[in-house]
Amino acid sequence: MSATPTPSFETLQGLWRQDLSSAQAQASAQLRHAVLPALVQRRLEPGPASIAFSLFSIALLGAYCVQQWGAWRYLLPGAALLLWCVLMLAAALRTRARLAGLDYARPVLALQRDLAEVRAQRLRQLRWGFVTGQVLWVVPFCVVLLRGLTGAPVLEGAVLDFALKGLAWTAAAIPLQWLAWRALRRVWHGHNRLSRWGDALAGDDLAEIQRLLDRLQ
Amino acid sequence: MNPDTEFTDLLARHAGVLHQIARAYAWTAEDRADLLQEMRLQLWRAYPRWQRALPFSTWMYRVALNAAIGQLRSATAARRDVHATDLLGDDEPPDVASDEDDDRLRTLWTLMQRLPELDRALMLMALDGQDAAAIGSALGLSVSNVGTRLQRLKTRLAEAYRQESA
Repeated sequence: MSATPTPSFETLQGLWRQDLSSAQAQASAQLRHAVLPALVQRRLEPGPASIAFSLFSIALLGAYCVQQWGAWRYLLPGAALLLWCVLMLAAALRTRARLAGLDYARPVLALQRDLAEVRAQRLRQLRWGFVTGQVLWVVPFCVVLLRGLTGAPVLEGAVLDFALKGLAWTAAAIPLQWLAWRALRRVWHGHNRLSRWGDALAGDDLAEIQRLLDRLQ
Repeated sequence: MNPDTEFTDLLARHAGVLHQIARAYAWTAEDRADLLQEMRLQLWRAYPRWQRALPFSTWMYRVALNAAIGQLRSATAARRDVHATDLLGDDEPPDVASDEDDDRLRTLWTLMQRLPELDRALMLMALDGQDAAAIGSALGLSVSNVGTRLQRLKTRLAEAYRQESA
């Protein structure tokens, strides 16, 4: 070891800080590989409550469809709701499977891109879920509920007329909503509020993990 | 923020300190990896009891140093002879400007290893710029005791550097 003059404690602190920053860089990389996957899995694995609720809904609607087999007027809304529930559950499981399959050994930017794609996928699912859901979860749901609970011929005469008109109005409102959404996006282009909405809709957990990844970068 | 993410975020911000503690209390790369895991585990377990009045870094030092000293005491081969190069770690070179700084840092790590457990902890925190109150809070010492010990350590450090350069 070469002869060196006695350094002051402040000099040693400075050296220590340099050493600490290199340790920090190493530790961040290690943390990204060791802790982040476990965290993502823990935060994003399908919630048992939501899966149980979806399965319960599917079972109830399935039973309703079997019961109404042949009575097409009543079967159709039930089958549409059943299909909606199955598709939504499948989409949620697909997103979660995609998140679980993320490769954390990839470079940070590539991983960020993967997370952004999952976020976009979630938003797309939510948009389609909302658009189709508003048509299905008002009139058809009421029909299924009343028919399932009472067995009464609810879709007759004026009620049938009212139900069909209600469906038509809801469907007609969709293009208007789409236009309003486009206008809003144009007005708020690049605005934080839009991004915050996106985060809230895609899931705060995903946004939090992206922020954490930013910091680890 | 969700507690899991918040904890990971805080850990990420202070992860370098854990590495330095591991380097000060474990001699081989394998021991260091074990100790790092142990410290993270203890921090995760203790996290729900962290009182926000205490800064995270102070609390983290307290838990991590307890884990490090505990592991060191339970290791039978803890007091094995080591070289400064072992202490600097085999996975990364020191990130310092010159050979002189490099020598100083190596000497510092060697001296650190020779210190008793508590003084080593005190030195780690002092080098990290923690104030006497934070050090005292983490180690269970009074502020005046920290000041006295630190002064003694600085003198010892200066003496050791003089001997090294002689």
